[in-house]
Amino acid sequence: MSGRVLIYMTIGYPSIEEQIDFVRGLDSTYVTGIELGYPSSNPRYDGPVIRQTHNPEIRKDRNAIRTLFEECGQIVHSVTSLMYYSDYIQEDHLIDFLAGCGARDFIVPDLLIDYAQKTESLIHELENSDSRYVPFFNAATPDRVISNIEGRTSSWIYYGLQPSTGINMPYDIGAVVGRAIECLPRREINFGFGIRNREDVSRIIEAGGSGIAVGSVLVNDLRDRNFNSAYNKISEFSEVIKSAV
Amino acid sequence: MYQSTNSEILPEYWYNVIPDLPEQLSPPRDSRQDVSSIDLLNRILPKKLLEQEFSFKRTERIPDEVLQAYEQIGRPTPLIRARNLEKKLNYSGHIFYKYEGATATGSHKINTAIPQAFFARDEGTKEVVTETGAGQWGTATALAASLAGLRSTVFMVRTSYRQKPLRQRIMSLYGARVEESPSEHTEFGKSFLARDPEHPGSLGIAISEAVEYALTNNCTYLLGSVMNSVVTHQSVIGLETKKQLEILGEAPDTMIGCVGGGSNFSGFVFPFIGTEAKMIASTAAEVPKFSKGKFGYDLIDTAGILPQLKMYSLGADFVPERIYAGGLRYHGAAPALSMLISNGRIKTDEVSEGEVIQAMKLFANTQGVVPAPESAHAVATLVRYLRNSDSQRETIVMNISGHGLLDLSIFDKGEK
Repeated sequence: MSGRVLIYMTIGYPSIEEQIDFVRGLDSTYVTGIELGYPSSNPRYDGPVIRQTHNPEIRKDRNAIRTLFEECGQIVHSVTSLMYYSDYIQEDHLIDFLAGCGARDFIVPDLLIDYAQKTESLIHELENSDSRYVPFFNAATPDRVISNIEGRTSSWIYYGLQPSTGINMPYDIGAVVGRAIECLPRREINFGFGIRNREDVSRIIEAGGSGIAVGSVLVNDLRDRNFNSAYNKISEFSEVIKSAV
Repeated sequence: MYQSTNSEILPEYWYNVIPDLPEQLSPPRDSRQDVSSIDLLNRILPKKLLEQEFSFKRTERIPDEVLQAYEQIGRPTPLIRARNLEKKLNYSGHIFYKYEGATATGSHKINTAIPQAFFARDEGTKEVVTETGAGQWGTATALAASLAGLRSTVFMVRTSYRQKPLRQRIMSLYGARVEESPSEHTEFGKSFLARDPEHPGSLGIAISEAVEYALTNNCTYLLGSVMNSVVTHQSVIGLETKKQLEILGEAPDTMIGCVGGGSNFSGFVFPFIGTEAKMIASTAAEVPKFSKGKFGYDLIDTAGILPQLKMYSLGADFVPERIYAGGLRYHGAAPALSMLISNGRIKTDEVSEGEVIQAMKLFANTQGVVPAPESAHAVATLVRYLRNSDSQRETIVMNISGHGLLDLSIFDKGEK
């Protein structure tokens, strides 16, 4: 699948009610996937912008979380859940709960870094819940790790362009995207972490990327309830992708 | 393309170990919740260095200008068979040493100082700043800055500053301003002096001072060790060694080097990571980071301005004993090296200063080279290794990361 636009939101930021309002206003012709971050007690691989959106207290309101997933499911075909493994091991039946809410794809950003030896058992558990593990790779992922995980999974790939969300280190987008495609020629790869403007989006797609995921760039709009600004950014990115594709 | 008479040995590319690691390296983490210390690197480091820091590329082309400078400062450095040492130790295998002391500044540190200073100059900076423990990194920075036409300021750990006046001299000769750390030039330094006017300093404190100075004076900070980009630059040691051994028809069974932050050792061994060679990292018993330190996230600098790295560490507030090998006093070690030690690929050894002094004498008396106290840890580990090894047939390669000609006062106190 080519030309995807995924948007990332941490569940409950600024509040679930406001997120639902925001989601209802999304145009499904522009947004092809929504990624909902399960609020983490230690979102250590996020940058400062996304870190401030995590509030673990929100986890208590499971009905509201379920409603948010359902609303997202009305807009997009695919709702992805992002959860830290460190939270998963602290909370019983978390995968069952999120899968029950409608999440089919799971991104686990700390799995390959801090819990690599647990990868096989997590993939197995997700498969038992009719869900898929979405590998999260970045420039620091060694070739043999990419190769091993590729052979064990069938989903799309999330590729982080930066060492942390919202960080803007100097790098060559074309080279990073090119390397990812070279390692994973048969997989849909969506790129995220640090995408700020239409130029970034254009370069990713021109280099062969399947799509993009944006999150940090929307946080201030959500915080300020300036939903139109967020919608405009999403439609702008989507138009850039469509014209590039 | 730069044409060199040494092109048979001098590599055209640096080697980056990241794509070849067995596991994913843990990324840097922010030290604070409200601001990004990772983002802060954008303000103080050369952009090109950052690009290399987070690069997935297995090889990085060495710019022609850097290659030319490498040659000017004495690269390739010699790989010498230590026949007299073999005889003295009654060893029938082969012992080689790569001699980084042959560079103009007398240590491996110049291998990364040159590209960093050139990157900084290309990005418009006029002044670079750094810290130094034993003085080797400061010396390399001072020369590299001079070659690049930049001013330089060096915060030198107080213990070394007082033990090694000749190091200050040579840095000054190259045009650097050398400050004793803790100093009155930064708020962080002042806070230590207020508590203890005779504080011995530490590399962690000196790093914090240099970073604060870079932030407040709008200049560029140069990194001496630990970070991956520095290790990548230091791969020139291992890549040359590989070529030199190939020419001799040899391959290493065992490689030994000393570890402070880990850059000389990593640069020496990482190009061999895909081979069967055993690798032993030798460090100071007085700074037992691998036996008593923890493998986890910790601060690079004492002030916590820079990001945290996952590494072996004794804690950023660790104040080491006043051992002479200042370059080994650092509390942590490079993340990729730490990972490979943690998973058992690289073994470690810790030797005391007394053994190191004996090793310096042994090496000087057999090979005629006075190794730096840091580098003599590798010699001491070699002696131990041969004592405990049954094999008499191995090819052992050591990295002598620097000379000790400015460290002779280590012998002033007589036999230890």
